[in-house]
Amino acid sequence: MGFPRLQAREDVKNAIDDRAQAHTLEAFAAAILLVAALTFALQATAVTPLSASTSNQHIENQQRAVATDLLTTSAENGDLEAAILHWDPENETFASSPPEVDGEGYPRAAGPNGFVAPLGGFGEALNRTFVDRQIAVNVDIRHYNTTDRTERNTTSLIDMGSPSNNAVSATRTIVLADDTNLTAPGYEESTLRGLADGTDTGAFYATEIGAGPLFAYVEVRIVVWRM
Amino acid sequence: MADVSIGPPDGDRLFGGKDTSSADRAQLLLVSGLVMAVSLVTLVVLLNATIYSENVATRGIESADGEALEVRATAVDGTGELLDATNRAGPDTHADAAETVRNGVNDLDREASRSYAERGGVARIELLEIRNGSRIATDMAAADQNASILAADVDRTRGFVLDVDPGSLVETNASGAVDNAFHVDLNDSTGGTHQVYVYNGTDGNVTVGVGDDGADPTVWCETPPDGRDRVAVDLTGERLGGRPCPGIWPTTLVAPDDTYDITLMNANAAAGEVTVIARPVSGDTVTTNLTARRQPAVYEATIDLRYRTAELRFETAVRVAPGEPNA
Repeated sequence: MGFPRLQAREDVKNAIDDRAQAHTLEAFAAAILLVAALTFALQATAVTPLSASTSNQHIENQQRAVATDLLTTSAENGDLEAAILHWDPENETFASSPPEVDGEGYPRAAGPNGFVAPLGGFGEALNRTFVDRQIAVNVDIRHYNTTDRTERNTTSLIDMGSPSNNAVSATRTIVLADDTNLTAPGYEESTLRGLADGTDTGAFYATEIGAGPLFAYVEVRIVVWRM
Repeated sequence: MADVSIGPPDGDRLFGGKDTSSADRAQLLLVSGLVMAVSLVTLVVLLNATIYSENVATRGIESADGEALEVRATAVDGTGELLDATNRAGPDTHADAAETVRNGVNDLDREASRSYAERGGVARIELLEIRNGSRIATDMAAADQNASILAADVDRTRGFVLDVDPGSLVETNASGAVDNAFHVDLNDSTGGTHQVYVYNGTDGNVTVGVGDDGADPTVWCETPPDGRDRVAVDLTGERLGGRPCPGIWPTTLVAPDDTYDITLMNANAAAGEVTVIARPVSGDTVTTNLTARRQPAVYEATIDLRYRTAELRFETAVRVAPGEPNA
């Protein structure tokens, strides 16, 4: 047999080697597991209706598309221009604004057809598209102060509060001519030119910056978000 | 005294003696289980990363497209309103009208440049070409009560609107309309004639009928007057009283190769105003029986539109003729 004592020592050494290798593998696996668990935990956050996610992004895209299309159709059939001309030049507010509102803006949709009376077809479209589906809307009208266009002023048409982080917006520019009439009751004969040169009483919210027969360019911006 | 000295290592106690191989096996099974668990978690993480990457990669394309379309709409609407406002203002000559349009497009360019610069885009709008025509705006009463040529030898018409007084319309029906009702006769030089009748059908409704070659018309649309002084019949825009009424303008005259004449017939059967902007087949001025009501006008303008952002480059030439019938 030779050296039985040496043989026994060799067996013990092999067993220790195997064991150490298993320990090393186990340590690696445990480390990877820990790192993977941490990575996974960092990516997994509470999903709320307003948190950023794949579905949320799709909803934002949809809302942006709907808002853009609403502006396009309203501009095509004239409803948008009629709504932004629903201005009372003597009170310097949009006509039929609730009295508690300081100056301008319709703060909320009163009932299913809240915007319809003052804003006509545009208000009806906003109600049907957004407000009836619990989607809040802000509509701002932006226009430059002088022909040099140094500063942009904003007039609020509809103000339903501060948009959330997931709000989306769409814009459309409307060109107003000098001989455009207001649409507010009692002021249908007032033209923008007449208001600017004092022929008609009162004042329009946008100043005259257009060339020749044009009065002003106004950008209508619509911001929508889920309430 | 008890023996407390440390003896030599006991291999059996340390390594399980004869059970060493089964202990190793259990440990390897454990390790294998861990490796499998880690693999599954890694797979989930990778899958999640893939979905996220795909989401990010496909994000924002629509909005970039939408921006170019929005600039285009701004340029086209702005130029269209400019043309209409210029024509309504009644320029003395075609040269005056062209000058007004040129200045207006330059101003529109300044507005667009300034406005889109705020979003990091560069917009440029340039006037390429203008085509002249005539604008004829008249009372029905000024037209010949039987037949009055509104525009002759034209090949395009836009903004053709009849603002009729609903109370003045002759009350009749489809078969009686041919002889009694006010109508517009569109005489195509090669394709027969088309008529659009406007009359009081039933219950005072403003009724629009369409017929060909003098045959009895087919009722196309009707609208109650609802106490309005004027109801607009937009022939080229194909609307009645603000509501769509598709099909009242003959499809053969949307973009014809030949010329046609527009004649007002039985003008005493309706009261109101007529407005039309027409493009003569040659020259700048349209031939009409109502020369006193004819004004120089710009029929159409072609603009070059360029828009550029970091992600998008868009260039197109657009022909603008607001109120033209859709093809």
